[in-house]
Amino acid sequence: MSKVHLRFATDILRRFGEELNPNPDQGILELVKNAYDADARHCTIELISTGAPGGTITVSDDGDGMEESDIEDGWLVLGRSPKIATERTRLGRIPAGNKGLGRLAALRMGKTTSLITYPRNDPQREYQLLIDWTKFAAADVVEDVPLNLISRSRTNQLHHGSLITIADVAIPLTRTEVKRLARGILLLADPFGDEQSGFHPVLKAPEFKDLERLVQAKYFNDAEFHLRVDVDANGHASAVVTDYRGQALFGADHKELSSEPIYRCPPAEFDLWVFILSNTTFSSRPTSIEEVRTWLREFGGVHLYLNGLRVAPYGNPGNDWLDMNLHRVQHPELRPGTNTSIGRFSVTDLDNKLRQKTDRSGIVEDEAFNELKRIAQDALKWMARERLRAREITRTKERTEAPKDVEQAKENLEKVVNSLPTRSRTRVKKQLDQYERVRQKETQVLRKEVQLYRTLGTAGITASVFAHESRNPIRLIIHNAKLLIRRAKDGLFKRKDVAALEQPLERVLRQGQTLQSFTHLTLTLIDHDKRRIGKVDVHERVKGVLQAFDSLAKERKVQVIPNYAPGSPYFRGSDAAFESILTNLIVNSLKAFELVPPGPRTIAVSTELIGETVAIRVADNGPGIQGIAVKNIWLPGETTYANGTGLGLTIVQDSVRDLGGSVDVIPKGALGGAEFVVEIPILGA
Amino acid sequence: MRPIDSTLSIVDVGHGNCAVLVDTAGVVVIDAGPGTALLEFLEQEGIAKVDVVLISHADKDHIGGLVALISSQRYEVDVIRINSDALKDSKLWDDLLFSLNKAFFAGAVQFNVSLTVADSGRFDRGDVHIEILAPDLYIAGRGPGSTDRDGRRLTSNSVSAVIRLIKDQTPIALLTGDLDEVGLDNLINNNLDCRAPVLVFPHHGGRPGMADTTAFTKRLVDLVQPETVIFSVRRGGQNNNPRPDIVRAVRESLPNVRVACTQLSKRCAANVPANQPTHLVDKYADGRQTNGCCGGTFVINLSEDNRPLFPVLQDHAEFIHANAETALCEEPLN
Amino acid sequence: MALVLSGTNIERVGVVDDSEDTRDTISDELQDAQLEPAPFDGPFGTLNDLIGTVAAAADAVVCDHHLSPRNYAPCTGAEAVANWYANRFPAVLVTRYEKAEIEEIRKFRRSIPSLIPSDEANPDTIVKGLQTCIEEFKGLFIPPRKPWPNMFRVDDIDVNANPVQVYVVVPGWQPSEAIRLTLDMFPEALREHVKPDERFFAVMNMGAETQEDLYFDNIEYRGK
Repeated sequence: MSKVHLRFATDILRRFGEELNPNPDQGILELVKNAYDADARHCTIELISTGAPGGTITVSDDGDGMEESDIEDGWLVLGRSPKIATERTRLGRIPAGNKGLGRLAALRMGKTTSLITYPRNDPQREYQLLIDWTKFAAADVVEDVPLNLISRSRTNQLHHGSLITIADVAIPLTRTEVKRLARGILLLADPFGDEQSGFHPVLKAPEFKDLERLVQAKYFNDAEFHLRVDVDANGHASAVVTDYRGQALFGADHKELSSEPIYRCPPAEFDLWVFILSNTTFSSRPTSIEEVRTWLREFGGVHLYLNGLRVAPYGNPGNDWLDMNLHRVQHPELRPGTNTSIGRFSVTDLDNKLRQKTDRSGIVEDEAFNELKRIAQDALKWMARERLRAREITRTKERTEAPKDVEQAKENLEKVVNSLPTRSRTRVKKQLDQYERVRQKETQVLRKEVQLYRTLGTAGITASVFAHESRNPIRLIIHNAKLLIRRAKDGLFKRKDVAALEQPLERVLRQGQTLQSFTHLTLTLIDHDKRRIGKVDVHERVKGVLQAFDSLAKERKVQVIPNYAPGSPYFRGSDAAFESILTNLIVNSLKAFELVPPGPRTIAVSTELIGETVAIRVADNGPGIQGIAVKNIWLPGETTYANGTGLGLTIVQDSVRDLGGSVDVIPKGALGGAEFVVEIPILGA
Repeated sequence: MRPIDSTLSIVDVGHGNCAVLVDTAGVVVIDAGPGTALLEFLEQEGIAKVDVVLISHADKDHIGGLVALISSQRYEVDVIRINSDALKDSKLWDDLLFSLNKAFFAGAVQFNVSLTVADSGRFDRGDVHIEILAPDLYIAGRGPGSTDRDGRRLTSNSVSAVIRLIKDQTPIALLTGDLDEVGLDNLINNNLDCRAPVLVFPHHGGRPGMADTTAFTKRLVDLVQPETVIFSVRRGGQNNNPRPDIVRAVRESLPNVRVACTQLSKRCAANVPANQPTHLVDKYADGRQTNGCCGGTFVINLSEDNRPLFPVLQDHAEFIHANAETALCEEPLN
Repeated sequence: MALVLSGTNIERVGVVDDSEDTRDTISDELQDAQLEPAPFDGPFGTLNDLIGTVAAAADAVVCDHHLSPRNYAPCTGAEAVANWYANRFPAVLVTRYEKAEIEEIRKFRRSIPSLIPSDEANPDTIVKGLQTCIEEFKGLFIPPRKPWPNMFRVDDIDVNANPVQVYVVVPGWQPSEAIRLTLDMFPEALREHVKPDERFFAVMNMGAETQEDLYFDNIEYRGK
């Protein structure tokens, strides 16, 4: 009898590695998880020239590092099931753990892999291991390839952690793979970047700067609202709600927030990002609704930071210490829940008013803590009220214009229901209410779609105006190019006739620049950020549109004169809706001028504050409304131009209505031509 | 008015047929061609009256030219014969009747839909005997859309009129309209003498219906035994006529034949000559404005006994050598 | 710098266009053609203003069709060229060949001997264009321009379009091509007869190569 062993051909490395784990991002992510399990606070994943073969990947962390036994019996052992998940790490983390096969795949991405580790528990030593995978390819069995674990004494004894370098990566990383890696890193990272106990991975990937930024920025930009409450040392609070760009929508002082004179708690800052996870809201965005949902599931809810340190369990999955979900059930459209928001309560408590429970399961719920809760609850209530108010402004207009026959039908239905016997009446009423709610939801969805098509319609009209205008510059460019070619053939350049060369080229340049400015407006109109609901600063938007039309107006020898009311009126809506109104009115004026003989051409654009609305006037000295009855100009398809679409004013009217406003026309207005007056209710000035 | 010899002109009208016979007692036009070419030709020749217009077959392009001629109201026309009423219910036919009615000279026109073998000699206006060799009464009676004795379908091309011009009992030329294989077979079956020194090839040297082009060509030239075969073609155009296989078949059958085209096919010369050609006959030719002529308008001088054909071979051949690098009529046959 | 075209002395050629850069480009082309350019900055208040000013200051003119967008002149180039033609002042029209333009131009096409696509205005085309014009003044027409009396038939009429479109067929030119005209090309008294299958006589350039070049002059109705 002889002693034999079960041995593994080197091929098995490939089978367990790359073949079992075909996605390189998963492998790298396992290395990152290893760093997390090692209680690292920082972990840097660097991709160097990985867009082509021969790149390098490094994963470095400041975790606990590994001692010799950790390496020999842990890191180098593949296929062992991880330890039981409930045993927490030194920092209280639940280890992510893994069998190491993903790690194997990652390490085998390059020709060589090196590991340098500085164990925390042995500050005198450092260990280095170099694996040359080509050696395995040349050998028969895995056991035949010896690996040298070099142990050295350390100079820097404070530092601990590990550095893994995967060199000469054979297959380039695709953008999709890096994207997946970025997302995976995001889900491991602490959303608020808490230095003390959180995990802070950083992706350095110069070829994928936007994905790099994603890991830094997380998903806060996809929030619909950002609520911020500040409570000062005197217990006075102030709140503001801003849109995703940071533009203020609603504001409140202490009186509006709280019925009591002060909050009896230490100074605090409360931030809450509220998301609307509906397909329509996310339809035009680069981030997917699923990603955000997953992230919120992991990190949603309000987290509590006491003097910079996060206090569990507040904000953990399933924890709802502010009763947000309760209120959400009652008012799903106006109240955020722990799955649709993420926030942070940051308290500076130098007097120890907030005390931690001895079992570390939270804070003692005495007055200071309850007052904190009250701040949040008051603020959330206030925000809901403001959102309702903003919605009602639009809805009132809608209600007053609801078609008469719908109203009549509703009345008739109610009469019939009321004549039913009591028991069936209640049941029927309940079902009807449910039906009504569902129908209203449907209407909202449709409304959003209509708005989308309307803005696309405007983009289309503007695009066709500029396409038309672009013909001339393009022709001039071609013409001058032909001229130059001919002159070149005729030997003009040989004779050094500079003017013959310079002037046509200058014309080419000028026309090229005109073309650029034409295309710019069209493209910005379809920018998806323009369609997001946020704060619309009326004067800023008017200025923007006028600037975009500047070169066209100059080409047509039209003078545009703006006149702004004092203040900065604003409302909540989409930039695109507002811009389409103004764009269409200006395009109309420009077209109208072609019908009159040459002479001074002026368009006056002015704003005026009238009560709770802003009035925007666009007047020109064109021919006025001619050849069509004034009441018909709004109808789709009605046009007095040979190649007009007849859609511009329809879009104007519908967009204005969507914003809760009204539009009217004065056939012979201030400058002698048509004057359009648009009135929109504002939230403030 | 210039002194007029009796002449037969095969006019360069681009893609189409048009022959003008100026005889001692009148002018006979056989097919009116498209566009204004015939009108320009008549104007340039100082002809104010056309005694007879014969249209070889009724199809859109041929009728259009007739409408233009009548509606121009510049040329008196006495007799018009179209060989079938295939287009009778079409708006184009109505256009023709309208112009015959309303165009100023039209009052006295004798307009008839019939042009068959029975009309031979009826249109002679001077020394030239105009023989109608086809269609015979049977197929003319059957008409396009119907079938011949052998059950083959007759198209308007099949019933194309075939006209032979004879003077002093010697044939001058054979004009074949757009005759196709079915028409040719019927012609051959009737055992008529079709020989003539000049043959204007049918259908502009394009596909003769579904037939085997080489066989068709050989049968036709055997029948006619011409010394010169003329293709009335337009430079460019969809079909790029004449077809090389037809030209080849003609030259193989008749080793000494002169092949001549009105305009210069792109197959023969990629580019038109830079300078105006000097060999062309001094009569209107459609291709002249763009230097697209090869032989241009051909003219047979009937006042001379040997009926010389202009432009003469030598001048024409010189032009071809200088300007048509890939001339079909000069290609080596083997 | 001057040319003698068909016996007429041409030295100064006006440039009429509402875009300054285009005027300069055409001016360069004229210089290369050994002619003296005379660009007009405008604006012109009336058609007569335009016609008179240019005719007084130059020997011929190159004129663009679109004059209204940039606040330059109250008429189209086609109208202006037709007016100059009537006064035997050589004029060439530059156009972008867009569908809507073709109709506007067709109304005046009888009086517009030369039409040049805007990016092909070069010394050759301009000189040739002026020459064709001068020859027409002498009654010499190139075959594609020669007027011939002839007939046409109305194929279809679209009253919903603005302006009303009339599709006609000219059998002597091309029996299978419909040509788009506008109702205002017909004399007012004849408009009631403009219906499908009605036929009219007119003077047309039957030798035109494409339908864009066809003009319809002196339209007459002689009953059914």
